[in-house]
Amino acid sequence: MVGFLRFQKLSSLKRVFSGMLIIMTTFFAVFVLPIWMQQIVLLVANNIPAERMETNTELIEHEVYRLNKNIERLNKKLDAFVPKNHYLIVNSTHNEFCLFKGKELVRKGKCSTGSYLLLEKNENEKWLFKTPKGEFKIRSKTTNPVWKKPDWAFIEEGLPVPSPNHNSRFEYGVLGDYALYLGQGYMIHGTLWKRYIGLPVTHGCIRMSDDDLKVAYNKLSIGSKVYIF
Amino acid sequence: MKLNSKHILFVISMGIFMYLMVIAVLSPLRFRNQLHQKALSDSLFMLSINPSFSNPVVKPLVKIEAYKQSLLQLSRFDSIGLSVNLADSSIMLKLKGLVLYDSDVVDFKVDPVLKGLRIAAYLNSFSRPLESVASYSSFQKEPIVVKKAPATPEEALAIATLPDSIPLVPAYFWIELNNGIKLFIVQDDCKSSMERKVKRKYKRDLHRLRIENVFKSALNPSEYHYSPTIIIEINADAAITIFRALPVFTKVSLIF
Repeated sequence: MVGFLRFQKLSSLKRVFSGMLIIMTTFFAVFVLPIWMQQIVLLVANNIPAERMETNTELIEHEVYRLNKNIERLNKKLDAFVPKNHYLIVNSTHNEFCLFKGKELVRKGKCSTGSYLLLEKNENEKWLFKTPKGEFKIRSKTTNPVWKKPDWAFIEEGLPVPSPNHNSRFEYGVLGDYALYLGQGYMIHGTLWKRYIGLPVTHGCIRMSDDDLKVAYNKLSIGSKVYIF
Repeated sequence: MKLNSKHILFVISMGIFMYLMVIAVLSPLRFRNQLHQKALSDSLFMLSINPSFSNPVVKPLVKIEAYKQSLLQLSRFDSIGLSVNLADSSIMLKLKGLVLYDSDVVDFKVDPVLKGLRIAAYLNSFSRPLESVASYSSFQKEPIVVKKAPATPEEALAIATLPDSIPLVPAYFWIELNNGIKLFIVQDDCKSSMERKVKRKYKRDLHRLRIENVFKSALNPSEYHYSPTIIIEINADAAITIFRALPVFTKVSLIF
């Protein structure tokens, strides 16, 4: 009786084991082996020379000369895209900027860009505070800029929105000593909140520290390019 | 010998398995052949190809020339584009011909189908920027936080949050290009368990893509499916920066 039970137990274990083996083999054969086979065949196929190779030394030398000349010409064309004067590159992911003149790096530092905060008043009134990406130009420059607060600045603080030219819209000294306008309401300016430089905290503008802003203001002129990515 | 149901099942399974093997092997070869045929059918283009291009001394120069031509075309677009130079292991964001950002490629793996392309097919496919048709990332493209407008200044003070630095997230994304190539960009160093989890997801995605292609081709042999892959490992910060900077549909210049 004991022997019979042991046999029964063994045979059911064996069945489970062979069942698992079949499932694993099927899985391997269907999901893994075809891909391995594919890669092996491709490796073999890549080692079969398929093209007739030119060995005429004179022809090769001529081609190398021609190609090098062409590459040089293309490099010159590509280099011509680099602005000759000062320009600014802003990395909005890491909140960093680089000021260049031609290919020379003039200054590098931290800045602040859009917070990606979506302020929702209702279904129709929403503001996304992000810094736009792309190529911009300095449209105008000013010292001691005054901030004319837009509607969202009041809504964000839970205050009633005043009339368009109400006194409470104008704030002095909050944008630092200089501002460079990029258009569409976006600026490069300073801040009172210096400890947040390097963090994504703005409403879309680019904030810089006082020293960096002064250099940018002095080096960038109207028409200078600003690239934001 | 008397055939029982087990034997029949075994024969059918073997048949299916062999069919899958044949399909798996033929799909990439047919894909490559399609690229070759596309180049050959362009008679005007074929006039510019000369036999010296396949010479090992000339070939790298021909590829560089094609890449530069592609970059020149990329610089004519208004939006940010991606330039992948596997010949000197670098990846760049470009806008109007200007390099906005560059990073080193730590490691890369080019699909054998692409590695084995004849020079005519290579030039026909990569002398101009490729367009992205789909993408996926393990992190948010725009990390938007929704905030309800407060009704009073007291409420505004109560919901005010301190700004935070960018949270480090495991970085992995892919871009599918219009000629079927899938560009996988993965972070190189995986220290945390979360990062390792994302890396495992990338490997699963890659394997799933290959298996799916085999099954799609098996079900519809006249329309074979194959997506050649280029896997690029870069640092996590670079991967996040690149993906967030690129527009949803971007253009890519490639050299390998």
